[in-house]
Amino acid sequence: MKDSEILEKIKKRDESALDYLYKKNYKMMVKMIIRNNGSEEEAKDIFQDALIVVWQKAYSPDFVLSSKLSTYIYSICQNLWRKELERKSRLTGEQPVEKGESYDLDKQERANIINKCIEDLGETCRKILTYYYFDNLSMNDIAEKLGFANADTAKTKKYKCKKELDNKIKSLYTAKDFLD
Amino acid sequence: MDNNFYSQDKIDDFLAGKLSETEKLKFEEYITKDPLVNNEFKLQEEIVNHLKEHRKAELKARLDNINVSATSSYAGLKIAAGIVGTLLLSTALYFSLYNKPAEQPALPLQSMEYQTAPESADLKAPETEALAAPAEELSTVTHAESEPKFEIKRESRVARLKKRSEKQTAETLALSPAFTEVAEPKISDFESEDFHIDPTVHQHKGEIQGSNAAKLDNISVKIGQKKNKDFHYQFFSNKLFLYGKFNEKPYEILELNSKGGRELYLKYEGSYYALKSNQIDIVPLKEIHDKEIIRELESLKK
Repeated sequence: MKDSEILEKIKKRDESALDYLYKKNYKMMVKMIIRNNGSEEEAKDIFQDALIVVWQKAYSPDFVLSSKLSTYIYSICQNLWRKELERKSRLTGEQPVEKGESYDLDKQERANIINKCIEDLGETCRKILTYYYFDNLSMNDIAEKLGFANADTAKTKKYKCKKELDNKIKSLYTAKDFLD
Repeated sequence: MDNNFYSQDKIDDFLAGKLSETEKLKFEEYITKDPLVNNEFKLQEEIVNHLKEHRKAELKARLDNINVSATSSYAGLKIAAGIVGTLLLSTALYFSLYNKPAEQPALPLQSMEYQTAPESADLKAPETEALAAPAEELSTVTHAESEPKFEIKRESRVARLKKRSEKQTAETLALSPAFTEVAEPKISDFESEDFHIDPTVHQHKGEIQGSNAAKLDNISVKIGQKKNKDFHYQFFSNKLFLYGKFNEKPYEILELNSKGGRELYLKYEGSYYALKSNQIDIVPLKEIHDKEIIRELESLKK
C-alpha cells in the first residue's frame, strides 16, 4: 500500500491503516528501541504511541508528509523513546516529594471516578464521545460511522451522552466529598 | 441564554478544539475572571482527557491483538516457493553430481570453497540491494562478513523470483570443523583435523550463511546457558543464540529462501525445529511436524 493510500485511510478514520502500519514497521521500530536499551514490551508501547501520534497528526488538514511514512514513524519513535529514557533517568535521581501527596491522592481518586463513569456509559455513548474528542470526527462523520439519521441526531446524542457522563461524575464526586 | 449552559457549551468547544484563535483568547480571559467557570473548566478538561486516554487505550489494545510474530500472510507462498526452490536445487545437484567423477573426494570441494571466497564479495552488493534491508541491519551484516568463519552453507532459491541464473543457485557446502562455545571461530580452526571429514555427514556446529553465489547475510551462532532456558533460542543483532547443551551434540542449521524471506530450521538429534529470525525474546525451540517441510528439508540434505 502506498503512503498516500494509508494517509487517505487515516483521514477516513479507517483503523485498518493502523493495523497495516503496525505489521509493516514492527520489526524495524522494535529493533531500534531494543538496540537503545529498551525491552520488547517498552518498544511495543512506544511504537504503538507513535502510531497514535500519526493517527492524530495525519487527520489535520495542515498535515504535510515530507518524507516516507516509515521514516516519519521512525523519527517519532526515536523522540518518544528519548523522552522515555529521560523520564526514567529523572525518576532514578529524584526523591519522592511529600508535599504533593494529598493532592495526588485526590487527583487519583477523581481519575478513578471518571474512568469508572466512562466504563459505565453505554457503548454508543462511549463511541460518540471518544470519536468526537479524540478522533476529532465531525457530527456528520459520527452519524455515518454509527448509523444515525443525520448530523443533528448525532449532535443531540452527543449532548445527552456528555450530560449523562458529567452528571454521573459529579454525583459520585460530591458523594465522596460528603463521605470524607 | 442560561449562563451555565453557555459556559458548558464554550468549554466543550474549547476542549474539542473547535474555537478560532480569537475565540480561544476570549474564552481563556473569561475563565480566569470567573472562579466557578474556571473550576468547571478544569473538571471538564479532566473528563475529556480521560475520554481521550480511553480511546487511545482502545486503539493500543487493537494493535496489541495483531500477531506480529507471523512475519507475513505469505507463509503459504513461502512454503510453495520453498518447494519449487528445493526441486530446482535437487535437479541442479543431481546434474552436478552426475557429471562429477564418482571418486572425487570431498576435500577439493572445500578447497574450492576457500579459493572462490573473494568472489563472493562482488556478489554481495546486488543481493544486498535485493534484500532492501534497513541500514542498521546491513551494518551488522558487513561486520559479520569481515570475520573469518566456518560455515554450513545450504540454500535453495527460486530462480524465477531472483534475477540470477540457475547455475548460481547450486548448493555449496562447507564444513564447520571446530566450534568454540560463544567465542568467534579462529582462523587456526581451519587446520583442525575434523575439517577433512566427509561433507555429506552433517555433524557440525557453526554458522549459516548464504551461498557463494549470493550472500544474503551472516548469522553467527552463539551457544550459551541460561537458567530455566534449556533448549531455547532467540535472535539478536543478527545472531542466533542457542541455549542448551548444543556443544555436546551436533546440530545443523538449514535455510530455505523464497520471495517471502528466509526460513531457518535447526536439526538436532533427528528432529527439525523452526527458527524465526524475528524472534527477539528467548523462547523454547518448537519441533516442526509439518510433513511437507520435513520432506523438503530431508531432500535438501540429500
